[in-house]
Amino acid sequence: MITLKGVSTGYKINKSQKSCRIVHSLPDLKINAGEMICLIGMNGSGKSTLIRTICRLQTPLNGSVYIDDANVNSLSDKALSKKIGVVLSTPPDIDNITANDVVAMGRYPYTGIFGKLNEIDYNIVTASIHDIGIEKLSDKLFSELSDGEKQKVMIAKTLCQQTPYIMMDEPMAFLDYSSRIEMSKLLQMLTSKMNKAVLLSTHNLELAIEMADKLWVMNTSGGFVECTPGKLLTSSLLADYFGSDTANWLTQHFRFEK
Amino acid sequence: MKNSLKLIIAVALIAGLVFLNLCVGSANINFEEFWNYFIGKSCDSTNSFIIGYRINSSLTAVFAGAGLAVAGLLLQTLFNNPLADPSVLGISSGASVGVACCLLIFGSSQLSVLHFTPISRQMVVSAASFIGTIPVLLLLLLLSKRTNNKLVILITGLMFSFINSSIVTIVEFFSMKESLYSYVMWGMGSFSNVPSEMMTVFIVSIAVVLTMSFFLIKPLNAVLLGDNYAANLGVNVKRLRFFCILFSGVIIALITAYCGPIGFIGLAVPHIVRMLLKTSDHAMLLVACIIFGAALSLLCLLITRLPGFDGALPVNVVTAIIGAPILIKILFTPSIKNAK
Repeated sequence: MITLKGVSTGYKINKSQKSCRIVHSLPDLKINAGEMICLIGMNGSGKSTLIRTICRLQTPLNGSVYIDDANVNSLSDKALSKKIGVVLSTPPDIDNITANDVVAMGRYPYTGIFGKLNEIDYNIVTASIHDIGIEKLSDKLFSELSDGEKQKVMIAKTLCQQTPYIMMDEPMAFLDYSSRIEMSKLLQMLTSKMNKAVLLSTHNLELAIEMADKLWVMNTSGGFVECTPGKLLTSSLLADYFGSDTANWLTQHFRFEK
Repeated sequence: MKNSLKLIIAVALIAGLVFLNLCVGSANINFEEFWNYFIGKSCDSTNSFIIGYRINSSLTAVFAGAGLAVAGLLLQTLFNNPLADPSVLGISSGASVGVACCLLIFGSSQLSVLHFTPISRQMVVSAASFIGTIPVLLLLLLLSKRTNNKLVILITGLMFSFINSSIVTIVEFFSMKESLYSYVMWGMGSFSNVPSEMMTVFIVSIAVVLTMSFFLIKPLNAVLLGDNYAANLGVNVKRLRFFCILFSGVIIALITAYCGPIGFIGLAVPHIVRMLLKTSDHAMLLVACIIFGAALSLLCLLITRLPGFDGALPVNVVTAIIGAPILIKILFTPSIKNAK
């Protein structure tokens, strides 16, 4: 279980003067094993900032993140890398490496000082590639894949990392329609069959509502609400969080006014 | 062709180049003399001096080439920038300041370097060069701990270069003609200036740093995914950065101290190696940089002393003239895979 206690996300503007820009002051939150949480909100609402904070890629301005009751700051780099895996919104840009080898990077926390893979590692790599269904890509050069294919490879890498918690920052932004459906099924498999907890940010409301157990809804002025998908549709939340002067949400009709 | 085979061929190439470097030069030495030298039999003293000199410069070329190539590789991966090379961090420019100041001080007083014996003069210049690199290296390490942004470090290094070259110009302005000449000669680079007394120190210290850089293979591979992915895999990116700058800095400081600011090898070899081997695994890249770096600098050394040049061509002239076309040729040669 990941617990956020009194966390404020944001950026320090000046180290010496301790002035900072708080993006969100969050209530206490929990991510349970086997749970799928979708993080939704408009551009610039701080979704990535929250994901980065939970992964310890940036420090919270207040409060702490706990993983299985241990403060993330007390965990070693290695221990943390066995707890949380991350998929970022843009795939990396590497030449001269096969997709298979990128997936194998996920074994980093488990290998020795020179990073040699053993037979168990190879089996896990193959299994991850199979789970994501990218066997056809595995021998291709990573740089020759499309963005969507690259993102699938990165998800396989994260699977290969064998973490109980997976954070994904808009993993489906580059995927085509059928891949998106495939991916959502895969993510549901991760939570239901493998009992992993997944937090993913997305702009695809439809998919989020369909597959999430819980929604975390953010807006650009620091507002934050936790709710179930059903509640989002029936309340005025969508109007408050996604509406604007030009896009007016019609609660009764489940669509934006045109 | 398998990569290990390519490496074996390259090693054979090194052996051949060393052999040529020993044989070729303005003085002709026949095989019998070499044989006598190596089995320790007394031979003509001039010849044995020349053979010793050629062995020393070949060894210097091997280790300087290997060191510069590895330093270039570490920096290119660390900064994720194909244009990074030993000169970008401003470390070799620190060496220039050291040497320029030394020549100014000694050149303008009774203690003129020109009165020194060649060997002690070389030692003074090397020491000054090494001392000059230390403040730059320390400042860089200190500043790299204060920022998360590697572009900032890269630009800081560039700024150090600018500051240092201004200082050098000021020093040059106040220098005497003779000191200026010495400075210019130092700046052209040479593999033949390591005094035989210092040879062991030079080789051992570079070999030690090269060996230690093998412990960076794993995090260097992970950092190819970008700093965020690497951090998520458990890499301490700041510590990696510290060690990359430290290792490459020490290598550059040592080599610049003894050979002058040798350009181009550190930039070109990592690219040549990546193109030839088609890999981004640093275990392979590191070994290959050591081998190809040594080979390229031996080739350059050989060219500087082809008959006709009278053993006097500066290394820096040759590294770029030879290295740049090789690199361009490789970049534009379509591989089988791309041609499909």
